[in-house]
Amino acid sequence: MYQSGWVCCQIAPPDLLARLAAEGDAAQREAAIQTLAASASLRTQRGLLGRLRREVGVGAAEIAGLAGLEPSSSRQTVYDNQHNGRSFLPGVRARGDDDAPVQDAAVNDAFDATWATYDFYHAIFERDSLDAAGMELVSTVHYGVDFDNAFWNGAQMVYGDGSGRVFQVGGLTRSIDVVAHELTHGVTDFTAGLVYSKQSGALNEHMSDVFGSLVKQHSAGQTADKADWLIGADTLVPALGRALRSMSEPGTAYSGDRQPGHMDDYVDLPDDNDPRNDNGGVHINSGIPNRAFYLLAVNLGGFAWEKAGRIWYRALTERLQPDTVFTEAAELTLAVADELYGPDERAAVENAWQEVGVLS
Amino acid sequence: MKLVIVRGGGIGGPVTLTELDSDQLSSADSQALAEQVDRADLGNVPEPATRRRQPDELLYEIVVHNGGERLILRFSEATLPDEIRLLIQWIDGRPERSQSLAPR
Repeated sequence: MYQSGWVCCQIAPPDLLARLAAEGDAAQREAAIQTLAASASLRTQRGLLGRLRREVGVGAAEIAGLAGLEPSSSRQTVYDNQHNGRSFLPGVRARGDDDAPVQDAAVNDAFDATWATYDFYHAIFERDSLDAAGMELVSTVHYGVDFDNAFWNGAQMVYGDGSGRVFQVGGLTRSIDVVAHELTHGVTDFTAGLVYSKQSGALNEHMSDVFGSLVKQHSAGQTADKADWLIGADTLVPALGRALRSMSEPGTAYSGDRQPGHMDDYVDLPDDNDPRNDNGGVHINSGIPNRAFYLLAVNLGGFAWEKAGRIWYRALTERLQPDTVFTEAAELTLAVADELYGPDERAAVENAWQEVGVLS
Repeated sequence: MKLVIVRGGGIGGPVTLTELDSDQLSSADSQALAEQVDRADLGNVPEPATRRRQPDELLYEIVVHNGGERLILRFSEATLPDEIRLLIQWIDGRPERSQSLAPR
C-alpha cells in the first residue's frame, strides 16, 4: 500500500490520485482530493470529481469539504454526452449561464428546468444551490444510447434520451419535476445523507418527489388542491402509463405500479442488487410518506411550499439522519411543525402520518 | 443460447425484461451474438467492488442460458463493464428481441 507521508503533487497521474483518494490513509486521501481539485481545469475537475464519486464512492459533501472548493462563477452548465456513456461525462459543453438557447431541445429543457429548481430553492428557502454554497449545477443530456433513465451520480445530473419503448424520447428532460427530483437528490446528499436502501432510501426518494412536485407547482403557480401530484407525468410511453408515481393515489401511475399508500401494504424487499427489488423498495414504499405529504398539503391549503414544504425542508436539512426510518421522520416533522407554526400545524402533520399508518 | 436482461431501479417506473434467443437469429447474426458474448467474457467478469449506491441509478441483471447452464450477473450503472454495455446495446437493436414488463 502507500507510504505514509506521501505528498501529492501535480505531476501525479489522475488515476493514482483517484486511488489514493479511495485507498490511502486520511492524510493521503485529503491531499489527493485537494490536488485533484486544485490542479485541474474546471471541466477536468468536474470529470475527476465525478469519477471519484462514481468509482470510489467519495461523498459530494466530503469532496467539497476536503477540496475546499470555492463557489464556481458559473451557476449552471449543460453538457452533451453525444451518446458516449459513462466514460464521457460530463461531455461537450452545450450551454452555460449567459448563453442563448441552442438548437437542441434537450439542452434547453434541462437548462430551463434546472434554473426553475435553483430559483425555487433560492426564493423559498434562501438556499444557494445544492450545497447551499453556490455549487455549479452540472447536467449532461443525450447520455448513452436510447438510455431509459435520469439520475444524480453524486456530482451531476445525467439524462438519457429515452428509447421510445419505455420512456418517451425527450420525455425525461421535458419533465420539470423529474429534473427537480434529481437535483433534490443532491440537496439530500449535502444534508441528511439518507442511505439509499429500504426505509431511509424510500425517504430519500420521497424527499425528491416532494420537492420535485413543489418545483412544478411553484413554476405553475398552483395551489395544493389544483396540483396533479404526479411525478414524471407524460414521460412514459402512453401504453405503459400516465406517470412514474402518484403522490395522491400511490399505485395508480402505470401498469404494474405497486406503490402502497399505507403501512398495512408496506412492501418488505431485500436490498440485494436484484433490479426487481429496487434497493429494498426505495421507489415503492416512498408512496407511504408521499401520500402523507399530499394529505397534509391539501389539508393546510394554499401553496404547498408555504407551510408543508417549509416543514419538510427543515426536517430534511436539519433533522433527518442517514439511517432515519419512517416513524422517526414522522416524529421529526411533528416537532418542526410545532417549532415553525404551532399546535394546529403539528396536529395536521400528525393526522397525515396517522392516515397512512406510520403513526398510530 | 438465450440472453435475458432485467432493468430496474432507475428513476422508478416499470422493471423491464428484454430477451433474445439465438435460435431466432440467422446463422450470421447468431454468430455475431456469440462473438459479442465472447468479447464480453461474461464468465470471467470480476465481482464489482462495493460502492456507495447512487440515487436513481439503473440496476441490471444479465442471465445467460446456454446448453443447460445458467449464468446470472448483476451490475449498477456505475459498475456495468463497457463490453457488457455494448452487448446490451446490440441486443436492444435487434428486431428479434422481445421486451416486456418483468413479473413481480
